[in-house]
Amino acid sequence: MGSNGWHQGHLMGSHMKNKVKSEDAPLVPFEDQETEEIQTKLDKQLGPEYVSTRPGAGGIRVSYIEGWKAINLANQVFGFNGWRSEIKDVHLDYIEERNGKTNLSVSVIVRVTLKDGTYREDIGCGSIENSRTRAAAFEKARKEAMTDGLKRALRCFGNAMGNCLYDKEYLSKISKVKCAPPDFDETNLMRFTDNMSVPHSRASTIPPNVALNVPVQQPAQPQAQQSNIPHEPATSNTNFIAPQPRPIPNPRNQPIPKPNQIPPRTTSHATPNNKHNKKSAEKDNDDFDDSITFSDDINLESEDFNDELNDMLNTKMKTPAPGEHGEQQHENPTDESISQEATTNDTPSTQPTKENEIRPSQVSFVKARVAEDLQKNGDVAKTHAFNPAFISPSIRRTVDPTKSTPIKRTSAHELKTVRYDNPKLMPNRQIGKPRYPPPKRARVDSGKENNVIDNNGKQPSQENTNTASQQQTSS
Amino acid sequence: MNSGDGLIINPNIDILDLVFDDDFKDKPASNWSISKIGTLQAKMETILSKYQGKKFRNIKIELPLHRLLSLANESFGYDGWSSEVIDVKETEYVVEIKDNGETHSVKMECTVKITLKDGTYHEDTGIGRADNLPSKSMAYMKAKKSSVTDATKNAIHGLKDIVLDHEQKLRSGYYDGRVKAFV
Repeated sequence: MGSNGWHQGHLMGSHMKNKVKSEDAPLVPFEDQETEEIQTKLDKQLGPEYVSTRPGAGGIRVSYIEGWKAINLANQVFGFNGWRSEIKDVHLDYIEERNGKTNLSVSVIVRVTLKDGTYREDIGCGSIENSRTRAAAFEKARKEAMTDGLKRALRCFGNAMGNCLYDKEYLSKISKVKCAPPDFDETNLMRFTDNMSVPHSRASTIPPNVALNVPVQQPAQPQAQQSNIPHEPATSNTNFIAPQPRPIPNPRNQPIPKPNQIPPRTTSHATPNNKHNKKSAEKDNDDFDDSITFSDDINLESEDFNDELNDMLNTKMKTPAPGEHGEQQHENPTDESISQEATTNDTPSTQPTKENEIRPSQVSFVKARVAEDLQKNGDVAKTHAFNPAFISPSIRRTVDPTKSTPIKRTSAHELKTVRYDNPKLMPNRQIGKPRYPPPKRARVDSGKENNVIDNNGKQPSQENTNTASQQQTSS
Repeated sequence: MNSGDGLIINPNIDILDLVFDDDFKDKPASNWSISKIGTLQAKMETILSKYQGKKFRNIKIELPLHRLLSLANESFGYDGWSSEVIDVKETEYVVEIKDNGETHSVKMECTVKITLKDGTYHEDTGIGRADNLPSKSMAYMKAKKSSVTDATKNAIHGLKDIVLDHEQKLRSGYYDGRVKAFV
């Protein structure tokens, strides 16, 4: 198999003199200023955030640059349209199979070309041993080889592309430089809802179902709806909000509709927009309906709770068919849940209503029990911040929920210990499971045993049966 | 582009701007490359001069590839030169079976071509070898990479010979009979 693999590798090597396609591409020379900028960037050495280390041969830590960081660097230095990479040749060094496992090694010649036609080439190697399938082996080895070759070709351009990582003086110094891990910036994410032309605002983080609810409620509750309109939603639903008159933002101190104050309803509110978006709106309403059952959303302490519940039930009973009326039935609870949620969490969904300016300097979650204080005073102490990592000490935990580790089986001696005083304390008590070993019972005798025992003559109790068999034979 | 007897040449053109052959192989294409190769050589020698007192000095150890690359980038500019791997060949592969498993030894030969911005180019070969490595893929990787490294080093070092040859040719009057420049 080894010789065969060698032969294949040799054959692939005959393709060596490929024509490089990028030679036909039009050349765009760098401007003088651009050249200087790139040269100064390339002369710089890499910062500690680009350098990774791994244990190498002989217990030495090897410094290297990760492939994606190298690509980012190249984009940064040459510009996203300033360079291109290309595989000039893929060469299978050897492939051999032993015991059904594949070993192979692939080498790739990679060329990195700048837009003015300057290029560097280098070789990259990838290998795999004991792979179960050939496909996986080729995939891993080729990818590895390509990344390796790209990095090696890029480093020929200068220090900033990774050439400095070969410098031992630099490495000894860079290992002492510390760097803070980069902050995760949520506003800088590429989102599915991004409209590239519109600069996205904070409001785009509001879940779409909250925003979708708004146009449905509009004709029914002019006041409540205004307080719930999120500040200029940059989500994709703007297209069906747009034709309707834009609601005037209300001051935040507007009274929140109490559950028992059922606002007057209009029966026919199916505007063309609503008809158009009925399906999606209904769907979102259904999704949102679940929030009614959340214990946080229902004010259990209020005296009106029962009335509210009755109201809810009544409205549900009165509206038999889903559709226009089906939407109405959710108006009140949905609205209430939104407003409560908004006030407790102090999310920007209600805050920016005051002419887009008044926003909390810091948006955060607080504990539910200070919700009322927040509603009245508008501010609570920092000690009431909601801590998602908090674990209640009253809950007895047998397993650490923050880690994923295999749970050890109970050891053998633990299994044997039987607590007769308090069987509940047995770790693996199984109610209804037959005991093992089974309890001793009066023996059910079989003929063989009888004979053996009888011959020994040790058990006089067996005599009766013995005589019975004798009687059988005699008869 | 061939120079001939009938070719009329503008006297203002530097003699090196002329094309003598189809190819620039191992010939400086312009004064730019001569001066830049001179710069590179001077930089290399300043580094090597620090080791003058030592008995054993090995150019390849004192000037590893990364130093050479950065010197080349300094003297030619990052956009002043290109490198190309022309060929990688396997010359030898030996498997030895020992008590504690197999050991693999591979030899590779590589050709690298370095082209300067003005068209001067030089090809050189290098060898890489891996001896007695436990796995075949490791042996191949090491041999291949070191062969490319070696060839690149040789190619960069070889640039100086272009200039030296050229000066020798100038002195011996090699070009005199071939080019007719009108004064």
